[in-house]
Amino acid sequence: MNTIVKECYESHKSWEKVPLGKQIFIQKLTLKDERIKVVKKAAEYFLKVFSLSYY
Amino acid sequence: MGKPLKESFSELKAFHSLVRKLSEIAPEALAEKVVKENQQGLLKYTREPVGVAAIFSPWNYPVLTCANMLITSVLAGNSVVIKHSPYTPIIGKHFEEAFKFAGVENIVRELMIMHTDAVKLYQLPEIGFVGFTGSTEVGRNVHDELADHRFIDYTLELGGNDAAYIAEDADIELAAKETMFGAFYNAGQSCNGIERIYVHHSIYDDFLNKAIKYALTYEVGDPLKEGTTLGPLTLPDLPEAIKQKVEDSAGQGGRIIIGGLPCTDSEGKGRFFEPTIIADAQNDMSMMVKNKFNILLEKYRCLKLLDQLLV
Repeated sequence: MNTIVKECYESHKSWEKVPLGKQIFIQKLTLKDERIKVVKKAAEYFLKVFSLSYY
Repeated sequence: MGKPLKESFSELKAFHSLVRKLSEIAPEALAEKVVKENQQGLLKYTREPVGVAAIFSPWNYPVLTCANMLITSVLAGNSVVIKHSPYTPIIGKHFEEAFKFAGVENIVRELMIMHTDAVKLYQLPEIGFVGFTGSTEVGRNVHDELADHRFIDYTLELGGNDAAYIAEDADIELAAKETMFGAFYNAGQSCNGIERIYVHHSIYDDFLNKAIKYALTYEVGDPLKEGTTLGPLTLPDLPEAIKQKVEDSAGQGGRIIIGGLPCTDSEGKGRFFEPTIIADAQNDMSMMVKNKFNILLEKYRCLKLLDQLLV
């Protein structure tokens, strides 16, 4: 439990620096660098397992 | 956990809508807001992540209740550990894998721990938020345990004992149909399910007859079959516990109109409970008030009560 939480905390420190999305952060970003894009991609995968499409 | 297919897909669709909506509003919700700016200085609100969010999710809506706190936490820049119900543990793992697939490691992790280890989890300095969905009793424990150790934010989404009121001028047909839907959805295993219905005396009998008609349309059976509209109860001891409550209600003056007994599907399998309506309930009946000694019944009982409200 402690190890997992510590690993997550370390990842959070870089994750929080990832911009949320292009809407408010004006800078050159790749799509996978945006938190919103990552969340949508995760949801897409989650639904795909149940034979449902995100789009 | 036995949810009929149609209701399971509804939950997934709701999850889809949730992700879309939260993604849409996140930029504005998380943006800095300047309250005041002048020569003396700048006053503004900023939203900053707190570290690791610990999310405790229940079995009755295993995807949606988890996603409510998971998606918001991740969008806000936190990582998340999920302690899911032992009845639906695969959902936590599935979320972990989904985020790994999306390209991020250790942002969402499943945590398999005993309830008794939860206190140790709260005490870890990396944990900056606790989200708990479940019974009021356990929620109170989470509140107390957190307050004993640390001052961090938490959200508690707890069970209820929700009531509906059918007014004199209501569309009785529609009211009966919708309240039965609200009562028996997910076999009544919903924190916001309708558990008590108060009916104006002038329409009481008419409403009761129509409610019976709709309650009897529920098809008990295998949740994987298309036609099933009432699935099994998830927890093994629920059928007998509910039966006892029904008997108590009858002993206290309640009139069992339909149902009242545990049952199986047409093949003699499963742990189900008949769609049940108890009429002429009174407010002081044990079924009508929260029972602090049986958290299962408080949240998940599947029978619904009708009461005559004299106004």
